[in-house]
Amino acid sequence: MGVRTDAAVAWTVARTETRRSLRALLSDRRQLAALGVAILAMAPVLVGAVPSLYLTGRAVANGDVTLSTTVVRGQFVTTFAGLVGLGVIRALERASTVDHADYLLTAISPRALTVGLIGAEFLRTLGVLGPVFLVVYGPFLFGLGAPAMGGVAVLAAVPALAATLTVGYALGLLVRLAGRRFRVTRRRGQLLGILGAVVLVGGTFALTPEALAFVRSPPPVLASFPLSPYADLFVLGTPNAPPVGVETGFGIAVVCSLTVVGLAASIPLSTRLWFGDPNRRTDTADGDGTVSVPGVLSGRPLGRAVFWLWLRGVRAPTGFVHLLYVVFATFPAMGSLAGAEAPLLWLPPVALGVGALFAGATFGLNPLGDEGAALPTVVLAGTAGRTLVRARMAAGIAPLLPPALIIAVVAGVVGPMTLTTAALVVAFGIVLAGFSAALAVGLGTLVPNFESQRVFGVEAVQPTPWAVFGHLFGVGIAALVGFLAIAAPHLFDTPSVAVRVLPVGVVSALLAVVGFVFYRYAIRRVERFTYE
Amino acid sequence: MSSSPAIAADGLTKRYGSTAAVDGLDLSIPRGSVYGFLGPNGAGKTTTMRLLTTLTRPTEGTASVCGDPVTDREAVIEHVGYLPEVPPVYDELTAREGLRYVADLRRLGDVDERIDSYLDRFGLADDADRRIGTYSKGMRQKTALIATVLHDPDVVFLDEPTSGLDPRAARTVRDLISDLADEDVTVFLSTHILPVVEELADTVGVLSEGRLLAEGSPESLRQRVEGGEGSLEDAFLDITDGWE
Repeated sequence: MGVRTDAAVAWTVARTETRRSLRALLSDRRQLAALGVAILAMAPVLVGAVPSLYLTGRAVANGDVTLSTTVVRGQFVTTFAGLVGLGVIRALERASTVDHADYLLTAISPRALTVGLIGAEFLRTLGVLGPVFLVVYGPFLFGLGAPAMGGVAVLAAVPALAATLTVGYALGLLVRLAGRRFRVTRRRGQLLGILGAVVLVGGTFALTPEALAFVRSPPPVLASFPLSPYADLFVLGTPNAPPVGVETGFGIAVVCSLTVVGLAASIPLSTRLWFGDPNRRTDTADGDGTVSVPGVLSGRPLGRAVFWLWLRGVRAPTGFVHLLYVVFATFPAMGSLAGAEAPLLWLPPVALGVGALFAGATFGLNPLGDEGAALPTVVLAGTAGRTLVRARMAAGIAPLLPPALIIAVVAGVVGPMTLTTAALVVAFGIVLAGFSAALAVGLGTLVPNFESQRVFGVEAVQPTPWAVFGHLFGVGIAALVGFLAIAAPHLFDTPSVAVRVLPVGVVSALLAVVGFVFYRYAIRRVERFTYE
Repeated sequence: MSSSPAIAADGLTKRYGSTAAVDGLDLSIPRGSVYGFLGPNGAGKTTTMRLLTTLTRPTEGTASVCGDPVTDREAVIEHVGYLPEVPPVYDELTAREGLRYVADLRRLGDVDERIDSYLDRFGLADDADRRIGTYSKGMRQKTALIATVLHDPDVVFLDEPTSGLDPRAARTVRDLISDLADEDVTVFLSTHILPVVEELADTVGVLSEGRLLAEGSPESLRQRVEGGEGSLEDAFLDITDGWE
């Protein structure tokens, strides 16, 4: 096929893929809700930044602030690199995967398909980042008194975005091919991706003032990168802006060349990826062989059911990807703990709170949906309701509560906490774990999810956001109230043991009752489940 | 054993909003027989099976399996084995593990010998310790079929059991159905593959738009067209003509 035909086909692919993404978003209430939450979370930040951006523009116009060419160029290089990283992640996550590949690859050329997929990614990213760019840059330009410069900025931003995504796409393909070359199985690849996400988000919480200063004032060496003069286009018209000249032209040439190089590399790489031998052995080499229920668990139906859950979980860890939400939610607590003056005082409640959260969330948040196609067999297996619910609670508590208890006990004994307080914290932690597990199965059966969906780039049946966030909220509040009930009597001078036990005792009793209601509800839901 | 029919339904109806997926279905299927359940796509076959296996609640009417009403799940599931159209297997387990898991769920005790026997019979013995995720469609279906009959049910509901299978695998499934009938197990067989029904079924019911349009032996249905010289396929097309 000729270049013109391929270009036309690529444009069709890009438009169709973008339309599919948009329709998928609009028809999925969960995604819409997540988008709404993201907008609600981000909007105050963006809107709050508008006045200061406007004032910055005014200050630059008045000459009160002088934009440093070195800083602006360095920031452009940093942003460019960040967007290339985004392109890599997107290529790994989804963009380099073709739906109905067998059909498409026998109908159109790999070149057209590759360009079309990159084009679709460009349109999607433009749809997300474009409004953010306008909200950030617009007030600055108005403050500068040069709103017309917005047109130049937009014209400058579009090729830069295309270059970042194209280069990122090519690098993403390289990573996928390297994974195939080194026989990284799909499961391990997904695990690496999940770990990468954890490190990425954890890293943002660990950002030190020095790291933030790097973003504000990047090292001058970045301004000497060949593409950095491109940044001059974004500050065109500001006082002291470098004149457009040969240097700017060089920056433009570099950015445009990167797009061409990215495309030229992506086409053979994607062809190799799609048509190459996927090396099936690596996809199934995670070990065959049947294992039996170990003796310690084989004696009782509950033990055997727990074992099967563990076995399935270990062999299909992508089913735990929803735990990333829990991980991210606990980062602030971890961060506070790391920065606390007396970390050993805070360690027991934090360890038990986090342990309780995971004990419930790991196996409990989608008991019905997790059974997949086998659900009819499970439902029709007689006593499976009780077994299933109890097994899901025990499967989370058994491996996750003991480590939290050990940490809490050791920190309680070694740290500044009194032994009575430590004992109360540990006792409440056990109640909290039981409550967490019961709440999880209750919420999980109340709002089950049976559809496979992509979360953090992993395709799997996941609990609904309602279950995940409801559980986070419920256990979080319970932990807060419970540990406050332990701490509150210390406001009084030398409280008696009864005064110290009573508040946490009341909270524990309340959690036990509420937890039991959720537990009974879950059993009822499983035993009476019908397709309606 | 009670003399009640294996499956009985009286005015069984399931509505979703204003749409009747199953509309006033009457059935009386004797024990030990094979009942072929035919119908075009969307006729209500799967909904009927779910109603009879307690997986869906009827809107109107009654039904029972071995004398137990389908509203009493605890009682009904003692009698039934159900193979849905999508094989109910866990990709991350091996066939042997999956079958042991089902045995655990049903509290069957030590059934390893029985599992081995079935695996051998279905030609899965050599692959029994491989993950089901690596299986072909036929192997998955055979594994699911073993799970369906492992507890010796009185009534087996099979939804498209031979769909997509190669001739050898399909033959194995047909042989099993035949053997089940010989062992006095009632088989409720839903399929689009009419020769299978023609070969195995004692009685055939034709469903369209939720209503039972015809019922009888394959021979009696064939008699309805072209002076009895037509095939079951001709009869099916004739009966459902104008209903789709």
